[in-house]
Amino acid sequence: MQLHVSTGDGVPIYLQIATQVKYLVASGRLAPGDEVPPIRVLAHQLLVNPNTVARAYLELEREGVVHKRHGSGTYVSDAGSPLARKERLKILAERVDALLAEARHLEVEPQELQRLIKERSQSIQPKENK
Amino acid sequence: MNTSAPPCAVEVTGLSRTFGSKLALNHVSLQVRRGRVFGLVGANGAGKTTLIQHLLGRLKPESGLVRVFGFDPVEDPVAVLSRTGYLSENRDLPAWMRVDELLRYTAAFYPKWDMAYAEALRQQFGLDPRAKIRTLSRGENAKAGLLIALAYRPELLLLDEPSSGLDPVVRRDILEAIIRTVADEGRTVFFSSHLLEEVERVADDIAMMFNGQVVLTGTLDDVKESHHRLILRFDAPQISPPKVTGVLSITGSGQEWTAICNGKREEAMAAAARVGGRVVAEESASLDEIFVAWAGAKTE
Amino acid sequence: MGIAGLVLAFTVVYPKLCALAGFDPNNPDPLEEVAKSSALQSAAEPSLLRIGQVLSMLFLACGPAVTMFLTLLCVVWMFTYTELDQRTKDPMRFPGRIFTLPVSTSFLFWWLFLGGLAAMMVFYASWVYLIPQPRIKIFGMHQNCFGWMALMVLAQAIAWTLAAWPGTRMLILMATVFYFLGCIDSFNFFECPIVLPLGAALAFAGLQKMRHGQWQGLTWKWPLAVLAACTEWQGPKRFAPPAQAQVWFEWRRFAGTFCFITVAMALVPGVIRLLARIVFSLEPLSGDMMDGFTVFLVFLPLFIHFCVGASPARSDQSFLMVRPLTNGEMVMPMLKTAAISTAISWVAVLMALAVLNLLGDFHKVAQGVSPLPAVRVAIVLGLIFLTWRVAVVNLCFMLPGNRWIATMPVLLIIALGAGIVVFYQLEQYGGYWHPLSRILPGLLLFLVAVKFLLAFLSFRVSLQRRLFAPNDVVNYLTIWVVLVAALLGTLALIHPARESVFPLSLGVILLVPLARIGFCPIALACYRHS
Repeated sequence: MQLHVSTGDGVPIYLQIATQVKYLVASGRLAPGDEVPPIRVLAHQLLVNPNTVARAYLELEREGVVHKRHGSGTYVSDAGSPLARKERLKILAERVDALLAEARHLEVEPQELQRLIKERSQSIQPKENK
Repeated sequence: MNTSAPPCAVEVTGLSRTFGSKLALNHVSLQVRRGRVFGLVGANGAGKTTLIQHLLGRLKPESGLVRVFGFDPVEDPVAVLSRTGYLSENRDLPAWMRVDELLRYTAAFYPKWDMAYAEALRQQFGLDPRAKIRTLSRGENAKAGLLIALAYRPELLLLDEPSSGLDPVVRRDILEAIIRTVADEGRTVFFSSHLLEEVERVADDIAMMFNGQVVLTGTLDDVKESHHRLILRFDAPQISPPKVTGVLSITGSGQEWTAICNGKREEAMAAAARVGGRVVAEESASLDEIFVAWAGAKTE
Repeated sequence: MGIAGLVLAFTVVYPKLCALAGFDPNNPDPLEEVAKSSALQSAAEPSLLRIGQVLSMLFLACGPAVTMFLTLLCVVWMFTYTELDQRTKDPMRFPGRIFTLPVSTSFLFWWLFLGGLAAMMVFYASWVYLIPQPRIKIFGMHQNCFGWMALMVLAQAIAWTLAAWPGTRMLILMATVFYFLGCIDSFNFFECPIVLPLGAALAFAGLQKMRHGQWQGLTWKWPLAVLAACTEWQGPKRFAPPAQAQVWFEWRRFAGTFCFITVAMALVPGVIRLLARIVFSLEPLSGDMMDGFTVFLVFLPLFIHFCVGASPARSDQSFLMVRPLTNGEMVMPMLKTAAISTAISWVAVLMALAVLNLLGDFHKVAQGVSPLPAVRVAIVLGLIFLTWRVAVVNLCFMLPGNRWIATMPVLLIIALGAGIVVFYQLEQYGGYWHPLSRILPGLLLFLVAVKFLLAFLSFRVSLQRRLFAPNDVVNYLTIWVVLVAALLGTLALIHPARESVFPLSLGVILLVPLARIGFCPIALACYRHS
């Protein structure tokens, strides 16, 4: 599991870890049932305080992205669970917010933005069919 | 003598110390809880090394109290030093010793010295046992010092600017050592640094020192949550930094200015509105920005 | 500046002192006169006063010459323009920052060369012409300015060409200086006309190479490694008690090096001369040489151990201060290693004396010291004890790491010298000896009482503050009692007169360090918790 934390941009490290794990789950790179590394191992790998990793895992567990199995580690939750789905939508919602803010700065109307999204999705799909 | 283990590894209360006419420490108080990483942050000359020297008993407090595991480092140096591993900023290892002699000599004083672990660390750090310490490079010197501080698994690891002047590889080794120490049950790390990225990564609690005084202390999360970075937009370009009460510092130019405020969000936003600015964005500040903001505030 | 001041002081004070002492500097053979005046008193029992008298006469006779040598050596050192480097602890490092200035190497060289020659001439002339010095044969060989100038140029050459090998450089420099000082044969190598220009050329080359960082990187592989291995005691595989580890540390840090130097300086000259004698069939050494050599051998360990004990490097130990050791546990190994070093040094000196026996008529020298073998043995034993004492007794001044307190040993020696001069002055007013001899035992008893009181106080404070373990205190007190008993036994060998037994035994008790050792942990605490 390749994570990357950076200091200096103001976002707390535990939040960075949690967000990246959620993204990995949402994009499918972490499949349901996969084990996430133990706290000590991840802390060593990222060179962050184990307490920070623990807090990130706690956050993920609270949101239902991962769950702890007694004694044998932490595993990614089932994709079909409604909480996981909610999480995925939440990630995308954040991205949409950023997109909307940028559109407002560039003075692009929301309707024009929707048209753009449809256009892009149509142009991608034929490529996938090939 | 306490029969139960004290909850704090280090307790400093009202510590003051002068050198000649210079006030090096001014009523410094802090507490380091067991099993946590405590980062002491400050500019060069703020008094970090002086404070650490007091913890080791190398300096005597003029007023105030210093207790390490409940012991006074001046009255009871052996009790404190046998539980403490220390890496000094000056790397004052004896230049005439060889690495293997250094290990053998230091091992004699600590009953909990783990020979196998020391050997594993030595190989991991890549230190030649037959090399004289005077021929070691700066990074290898730091690694040797770290080795003899870690090998007996001390309850308190004291690091004085461990990463100063070292390349990124050695800095990773030091951070790994800190994390490994605190991951073991109940062991504590106290380190001073002005490399704020490292402090942000590994510290649980921090204290910020300026000119011998502690201006800020608390858990890292609390400190970061209480400081906000406000991006202000003014209708008219400002020539000089606008005076906004309740913020620590304000930087920028023209119409957009960035302000760092400490907790008093609403007050700062109201004050900004009064001088004609509105808040366009609000983010949490990085430790670097918090430090620079406090430095600026303290020099005014 | 200091040298100029010394010269001035001597110019003014010395003739007055000579007049007071009734000592004629222009006497063709001053040492003979000293011997005569001391022989007059040798009929009486040796007593403090007579010894003081003889010592002060010796000081007047040899003082100017010795001080002149020391000051001229100082000028030589000054003009090598080297200094102690804090970082690498190299005692003679040429300041590299000079090379970053926009001056050419030739300018630097000529400035130091000519400046040195000029200074040497000025000081030499002032010593020789301003102060009426007694003409003593041994020192006469050095009354030659050209020789001194050659020494200066050679010192510059050695200091600069061998800058990359500080150890070798120090050895060669020491050898040159000692050869210069000890060379009493009629052939003076330094007066050869080619030495000065050759030395100058070497010095210039050395300066040039030093500037551009050349002549570095070559290392002595096996000879120095062998030497190093001899001096380094590796210690056992695993140090069981911490005390053993600390003794090893102290040995490697200080005592080992100095012991090695003592042994080398004691044995090497004798052995070389012996080999030379066998190979080149040289004649045996003259009486003067034998005397000089014996004095050198006998005072060598004393001098070197004094340097160890009063060395300022004693207080540079921040690594040690954060080890979990009590102050007492740091002080006791210092005493132990001093004892070991004394023992080894004196074994070497006795061996060197045995070699000396093969080089000339040692019997005459021995007779000159004292006709009784028992007295000679007593003197040797006394000197062995004194060697350990000077290594150890100044620790309490050097340990606090305070610059002013660290000058105490030197001040004490000056006070001792001044006391001797005062004694000699009092001799003018005859008849004071009897009242003095009556109060002397009382005075000594008072001093012994003060010593015991201070010792009691210091040990009590050390024990209260847990600086000294009770075990260590008992050990040291046992050693003290054994030493005093041994010294009193040695005293019995010289059969002093009945009335001087008591003051002499009190003197012995005063000599064995007790209070000052008791103060060592407290002094160390001043450094450790400043």
